[in-house]
Amino acid sequence: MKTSTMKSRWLAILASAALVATVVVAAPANAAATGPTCDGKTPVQTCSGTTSDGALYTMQVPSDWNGTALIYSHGYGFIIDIPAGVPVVGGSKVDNSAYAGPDAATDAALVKAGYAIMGSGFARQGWNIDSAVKTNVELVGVFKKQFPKVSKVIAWGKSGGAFITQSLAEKYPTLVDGIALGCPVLGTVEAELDMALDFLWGLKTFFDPTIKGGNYSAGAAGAGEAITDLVKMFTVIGKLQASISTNAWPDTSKAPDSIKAIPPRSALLLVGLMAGIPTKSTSFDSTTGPEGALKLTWPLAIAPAMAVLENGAQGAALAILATHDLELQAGGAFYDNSKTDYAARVADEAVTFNAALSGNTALNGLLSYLSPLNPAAPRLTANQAALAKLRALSTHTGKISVPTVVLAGETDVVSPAGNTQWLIDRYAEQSAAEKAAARKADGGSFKAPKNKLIVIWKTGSSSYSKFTAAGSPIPLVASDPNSNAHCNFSAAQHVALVKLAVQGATKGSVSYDGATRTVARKVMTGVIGPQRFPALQKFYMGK
Amino acid sequence: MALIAPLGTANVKAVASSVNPARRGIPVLFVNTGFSGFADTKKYPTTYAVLPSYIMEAKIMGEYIKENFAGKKIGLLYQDDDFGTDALAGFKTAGTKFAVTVPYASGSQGAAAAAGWITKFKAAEADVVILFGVSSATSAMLGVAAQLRYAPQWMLGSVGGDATTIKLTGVPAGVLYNAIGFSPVPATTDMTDEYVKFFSDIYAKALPGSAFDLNVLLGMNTAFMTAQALKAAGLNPTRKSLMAAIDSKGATFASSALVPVGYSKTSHVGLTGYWVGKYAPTGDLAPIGGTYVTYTTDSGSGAVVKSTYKRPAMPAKGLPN
Repeated sequence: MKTSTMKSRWLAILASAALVATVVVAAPANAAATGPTCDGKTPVQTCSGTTSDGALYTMQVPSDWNGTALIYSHGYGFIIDIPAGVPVVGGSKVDNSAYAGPDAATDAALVKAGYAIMGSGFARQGWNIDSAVKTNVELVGVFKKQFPKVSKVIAWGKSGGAFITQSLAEKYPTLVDGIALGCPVLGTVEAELDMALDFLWGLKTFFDPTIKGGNYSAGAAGAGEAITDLVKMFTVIGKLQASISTNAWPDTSKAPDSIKAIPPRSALLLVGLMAGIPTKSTSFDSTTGPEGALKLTWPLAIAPAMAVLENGAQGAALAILATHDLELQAGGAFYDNSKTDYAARVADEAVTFNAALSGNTALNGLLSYLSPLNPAAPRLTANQAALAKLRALSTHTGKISVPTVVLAGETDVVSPAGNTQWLIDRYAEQSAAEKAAARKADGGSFKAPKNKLIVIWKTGSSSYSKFTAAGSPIPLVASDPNSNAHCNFSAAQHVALVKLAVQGATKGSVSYDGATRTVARKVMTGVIGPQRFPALQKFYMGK
Repeated sequence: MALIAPLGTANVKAVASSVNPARRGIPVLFVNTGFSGFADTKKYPTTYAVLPSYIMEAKIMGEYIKENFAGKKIGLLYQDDDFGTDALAGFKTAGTKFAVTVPYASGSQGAAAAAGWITKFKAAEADVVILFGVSSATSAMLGVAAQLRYAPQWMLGSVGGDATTIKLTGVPAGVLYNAIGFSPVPATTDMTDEYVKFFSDIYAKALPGSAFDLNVLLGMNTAFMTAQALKAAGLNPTRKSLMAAIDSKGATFASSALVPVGYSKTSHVGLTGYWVGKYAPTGDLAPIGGTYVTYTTDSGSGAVVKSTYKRPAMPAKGLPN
């Protein structure tokens, strides 16, 4: 995600119901390569232009340039303007601007450190991996032609931009010397969409069956349907927030009274668990309770659902907007839960979160309601041609050829930790094969291949929830003191991430050495990779 | 190096999935939960149970009911999660028939809920009511029952029969009087038992004036077994050698328990049975008739048998051999 477009505004619920979206065709501003046009300024020269696909680009080169060029890929950008009244994502405009880094402070710090920075706005927004990789390859060529004294190229990106970066490194391993991935989406977009759409389907099924939840129409009609879904989804989330104290189901729910006898927070939590939504969020750590009678009950029975609610607001927004985007690209509906075994998906969590799920009897009742045999909970089946087309979009092999540094949030809801774990698993396989090959080739004088992946998990504090004297939770989204929100890294953390990748590129390898550990602990407020094994996304269960 | 004696099924499960000790090769020794699933060495290869499973407990309860309450109407209150699922499985294997079963969701227990439970047990005219839940549920149930003068024969599971915790909730231990209870280790008041005497002496010196209760005895017993495991793992113990030591020698470790453990290269099953007692007005559990009659079984379809197990003698000075 472009971080600026996904800043959550904790449940500022929309009152109006009908908003009209303007469909913006994400056409490039220009149709042919131009530039680069450089301003010749010192101490930082700025260049701009367009690649042959019409994508805008920008470059900044300091006078004391150290020869290392950083190419940045921004994350997912919306393909339609979002009306201002929509919570969380409202007011976002289609943005084709070029970004050489994630924010001005980071850009300035990197340039001050002697790096040249560059980045594209890409030829289209939305899920654009294949197109963006092509653009980046061309942009690196443009830069090298303009500034021939390049010694190293480091690619980096955040969220969907990290997906682009990994794809670039996999397809053009000699083009880059190292990469840095922040809060990455990795593997396949299907895993992301599966999480988001399972959550949306659960919300729809339990709380508002009028949510369309995909299979959007083409053109303006489809954009309007997506915006309408956004409004309905946030309205339901607002009602669920209110229900925490009343146990009243949203009035849009069509569930029978036997189901409505179960607290709606339990149904919400079930939806979150079966989708893989984290049970720790920006405001809710799921361990701290208010002083008084609810001190233990709150974290046990209520906080997990509140965290899912807060996280789900972002997850479901992604579900709707990215689904609209990718259905347009794929030519139809690709989400398919016709065979998903949700009971199996929550088997372990059913024990851990049993109190919050209101016990096995309630849980079994909720799962029965979601059964494929229940006509009130219709499952969705993909258009197979559209699914095939979706799967033809860029996916990763997970192969790592250049030093790679990852900084990932443990509870990031938009790009869950399972993305990074997927890459760790693939690299473990690759590394084992490389070691075996080295043993075979060296005939006894084994020399271990160089390590090319390190991961830093941004963990933050384990106890940070705040409550008023009356025991009400205090939303922390505006400040996000524990940096739990999607890709919420500081400029210092961005710079540290890039520097680790540059050091790795210089040495040809990366390691969890003392210096890296110190950076992880002091700058990233995190821990190094081997200390964590987060679960893969639910999409991978049984695969 | 290892996790020692983590408490609670949900907690251990959460750690298993989020910290993943199995994948990291970290031993999780002597978990304080009777969830039978933790003995599954495929799913939890580094986890070792120590308490008898809830399935075993329910099977032994069922056997005791068969022997002593044949023809009586039996009621069951159980926690509506894996704890209770294990119990239901055990009672089913034992062939126990219930006049009424009442589930409660963890966290929902309290005085108001207890009044509703009692209404159901009264309506079913239960002669014996089994409380297979946590101590706070027992507190709520027995506290409200005392107020309502509802007094069936209570039978408490080992988890919910913790007098110390019950007293901490403000309910007097006297409500436990005459209830039937189950324990794998000797009565904490039994100073004729060499383990109890030895452990209580150490505890009195370490924490003068602090009550030597079942929690303390079980905790010290776990520490005692851990020390033996470490010694058996060699001078430079590793995670692997520690687990190998339990696999090969754990079944012979000295322990205060009156029933054997099931450790072997293929089994991480902990203790395998209970003796049956009744609670004194002080909340202390003592063997019925003054003699320990122990029952052992497994978590499957194996029979419940009266045990002839002879536990190892306390090593000299309590130090591992």
